[in-house]
Amino acid sequence: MATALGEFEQLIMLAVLGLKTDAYGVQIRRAIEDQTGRNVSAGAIYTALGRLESRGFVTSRLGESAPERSGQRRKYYDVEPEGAAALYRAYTNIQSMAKGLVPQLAGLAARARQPDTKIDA
Amino acid sequence: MPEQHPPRLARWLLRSFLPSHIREFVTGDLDEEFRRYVTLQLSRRQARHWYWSQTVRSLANGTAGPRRKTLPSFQKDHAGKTIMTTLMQDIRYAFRAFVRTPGQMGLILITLGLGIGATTAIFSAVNEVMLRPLSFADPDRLVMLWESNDERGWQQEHAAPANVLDWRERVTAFQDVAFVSEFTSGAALTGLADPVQVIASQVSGNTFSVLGASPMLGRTFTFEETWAPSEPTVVLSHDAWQRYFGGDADIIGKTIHLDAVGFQVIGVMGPSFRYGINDAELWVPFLWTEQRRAHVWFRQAHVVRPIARLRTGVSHEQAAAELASIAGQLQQEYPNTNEFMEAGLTPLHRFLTGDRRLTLLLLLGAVGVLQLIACGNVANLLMTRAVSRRQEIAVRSALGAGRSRITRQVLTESFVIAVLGAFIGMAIGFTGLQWINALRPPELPSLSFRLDWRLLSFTVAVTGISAIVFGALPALRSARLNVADQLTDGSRIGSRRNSLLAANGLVSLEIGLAVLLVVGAGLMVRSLRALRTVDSGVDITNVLTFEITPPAGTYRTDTERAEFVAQFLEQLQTVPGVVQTGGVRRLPYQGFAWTSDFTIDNWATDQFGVEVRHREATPGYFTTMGVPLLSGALFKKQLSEDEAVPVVVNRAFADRYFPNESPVGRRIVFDRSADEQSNWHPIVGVVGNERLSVTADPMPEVIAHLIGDPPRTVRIAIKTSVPPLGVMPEVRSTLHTLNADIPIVSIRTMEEVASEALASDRFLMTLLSVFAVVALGLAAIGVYGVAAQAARARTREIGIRLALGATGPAIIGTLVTRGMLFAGGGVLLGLAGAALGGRVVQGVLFGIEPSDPTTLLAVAVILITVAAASSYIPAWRATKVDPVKVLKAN
Repeated sequence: MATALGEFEQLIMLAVLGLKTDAYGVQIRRAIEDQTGRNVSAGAIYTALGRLESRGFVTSRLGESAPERSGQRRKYYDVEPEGAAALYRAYTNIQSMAKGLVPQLAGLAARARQPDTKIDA
Repeated sequence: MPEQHPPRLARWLLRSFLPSHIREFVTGDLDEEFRRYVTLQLSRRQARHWYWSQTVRSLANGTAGPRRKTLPSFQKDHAGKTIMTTLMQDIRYAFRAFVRTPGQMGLILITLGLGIGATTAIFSAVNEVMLRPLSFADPDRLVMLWESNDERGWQQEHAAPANVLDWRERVTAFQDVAFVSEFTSGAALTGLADPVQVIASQVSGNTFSVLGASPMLGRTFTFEETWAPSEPTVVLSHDAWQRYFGGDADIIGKTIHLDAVGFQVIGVMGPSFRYGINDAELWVPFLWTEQRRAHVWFRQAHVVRPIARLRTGVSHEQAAAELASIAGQLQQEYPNTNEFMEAGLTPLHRFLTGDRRLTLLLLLGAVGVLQLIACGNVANLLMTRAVSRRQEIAVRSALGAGRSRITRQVLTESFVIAVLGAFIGMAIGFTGLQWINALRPPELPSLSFRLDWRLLSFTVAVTGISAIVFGALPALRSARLNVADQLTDGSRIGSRRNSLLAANGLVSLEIGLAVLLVVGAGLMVRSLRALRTVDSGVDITNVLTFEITPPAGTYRTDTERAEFVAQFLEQLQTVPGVVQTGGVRRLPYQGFAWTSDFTIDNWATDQFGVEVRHREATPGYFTTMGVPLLSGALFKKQLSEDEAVPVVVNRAFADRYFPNESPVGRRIVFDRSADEQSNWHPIVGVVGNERLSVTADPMPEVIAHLIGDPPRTVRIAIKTSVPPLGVMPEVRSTLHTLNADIPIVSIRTMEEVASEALASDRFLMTLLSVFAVVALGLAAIGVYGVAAQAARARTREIGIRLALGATGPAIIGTLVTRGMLFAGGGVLLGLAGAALGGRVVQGVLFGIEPSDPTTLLAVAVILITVAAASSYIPAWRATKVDPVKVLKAN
């Protein structure tokens, strides 16, 4: 439990990693939306990031305030080594489990009536 | 590019309900993205929609904060946690709960909003008309005086000026008595770019001082100015001052021209002055001459509404008694005019709201009923919700939540519901009032949605009571729960059965209340139909009507005025598309002008008739309006010098006073007794009855040639062979060539005139029908909800029955019958209520009894059908369960 990551948490951490120094709410939300088509609420992102931060997986720093944000500050996130380790573990686990199964999986998935696009709660 | 703001309310919600540690970043993110959407791709509407959906979802799942070991309300309050924190936590929790069950919450909020909205809108109207005080000083001491006369069938009628002046001098209980003309008249205000018709009202000079109203600029009249002074004076309303004179600060002392007569402006009333007696834009004194005052007319013509201010310390009863005794004296002194003439008084405000009182009280009652139905529904929905949440609550108390903590949580939730409902209700009420304004009949003043303290406290009271009732019920039930029972599945059925009984009872009541509203609406619909089918006696197709007021300054005598009208009508005949033209004092549906006694040349000296109605018309009027000539002849166009003014009588007159002979050729005089010196009028013809008012049966009427007594304002009627409004430009230019200073006002087809006469009834019918439909909808939702609950509670039983071989239809039958029993009870209850309360609506009905069996039966059938349909669906769905699954679940 202490080191396991949920799927949504993985998506967020990957987004933070990919955004390098520009990882704040809007960018993270858009990255997830662009890549997965999932429309995520801003509140949910901060809730998840709050959880990750309390587990030491990410750290945050306050940024500058901006007029287009009605003068409110940004909060940037960085992935910590512990977080990277957990994420890497989760990713490699999936990869090794999926080894050789991808074509079969794709064929089976094509027969699904509808892709499950349910947004996280 | 204009600055783009995210939706304010959404932003406020975010700022208020997001946990503080993420508030700034979430709102910042949303604002930033919102602006990007606006500038980049989305329309403002889409961007707002996006922002709202983000807000709702962020509030729902962003409020949880870092993962907690337990849900917030599982914890007991520990020291150091303030009440505010707990409250905010509860509110957030409530929002999350709402988002989890959007359908149910939507239903609750819309139901509550409809109830509150309808009540608020109607209450605004009632408030405006009946509760908001007139802007008079010490209004409790103001009374309206009136005269009644048994012989003539008068109730609280206008008074004769001479009598009023005597009361003013003799009744010591009155500090002062003023008198006003209840009806306004149009006057052409000239000297501006275009002549306009302004609404003028005649008053006695002391009117403003009696009402206790002071002007904003200048002064008001003195009592002496009531009579013809050397230069007439005028007082302007604030509106007229702004509209016609651009708020000219130097207006006082200037002369304005009304109907080509110069009036000196002596005062302007303030913007808050509400006259309340009519919608006058300006006031002029009566300007009666010495001759007029000396004439018997002054005691005969019941044309003014007297308003008295009581002396301090004098009660209404004392004043009424003294007035009655003075009226008795006048009976002795002036037997010719005052025999049977009694006098009395009514508090001014009550008198002025009298006509509208019934309509508004009816509507208020109707929305009250609607609100009750809505409350019943919401209570039911919340109880269902409470039942389905028992397990959750039980888990919470098992984990250590105290009873008071749970009660507080549930109450907070109800409070949040009530507040949201109030917001939605205000919005619906606001929209509803716009709509009522568009529909309102002329006797209601323009209504504005005013958030005054009465309305606010009313809404807060309704909402507060709703919150307590809906909140307390489920909360108290929940807090009394036995945790162990709830956690083991066993006791479910028993408690459900109890709550089902309560729910069914509520729904029965709802149906009963809905019956009341549907009966009311049904009666109004049928009453209006009856009103529509009354024969008007005229042919209203292709008739154009409008009013002109030949200015008194230009056409100084009756003859000049009558000649001008005749000349205008003559020239109109040449306009293409015009078939026939006529002029009259009042159109059908607009009432009669005055009434009088009369006697006929071959009647005995002490024989006379009373209360014959009078109008004046030009010769062409009858053919224009399609009024048939039954015998004799219509008027000649020209009368020779000294020729007596001829009259025609209507059929009702001929039937009542000349049952066995023809009145044609007889002479009539409008007095009780007559001699050869009296003003005799030859009766030249008998015409068909016209409908002078919406409801009354045809009454005896005498119509005189317009030349005898041409009214100041003449209604022109034009029969056309083309669509009536099409001839208007030609009509206008014809009038313009004769006199460019006469405005044409109230341009309407005769069909519109007839339709406007029913406006008040249509208004009541439309509103009641809307309420009835909403009530039906709410009752249907109520029935559906309870039926679904009942079906759910019996899923197991139904499964077993199906397994044992029962058929679907049989089970549906059982379930629907059970629902029908309660619905039928409700319908009976409602019909009983309608029978008892029917007398209340009697006053607004025409040609139909409140206990009309057809209506009652139809309503019963409608409600039973609605109830059956709403309970059928859940019953049908219940039979679709898979018996195997149900049995396995046990």
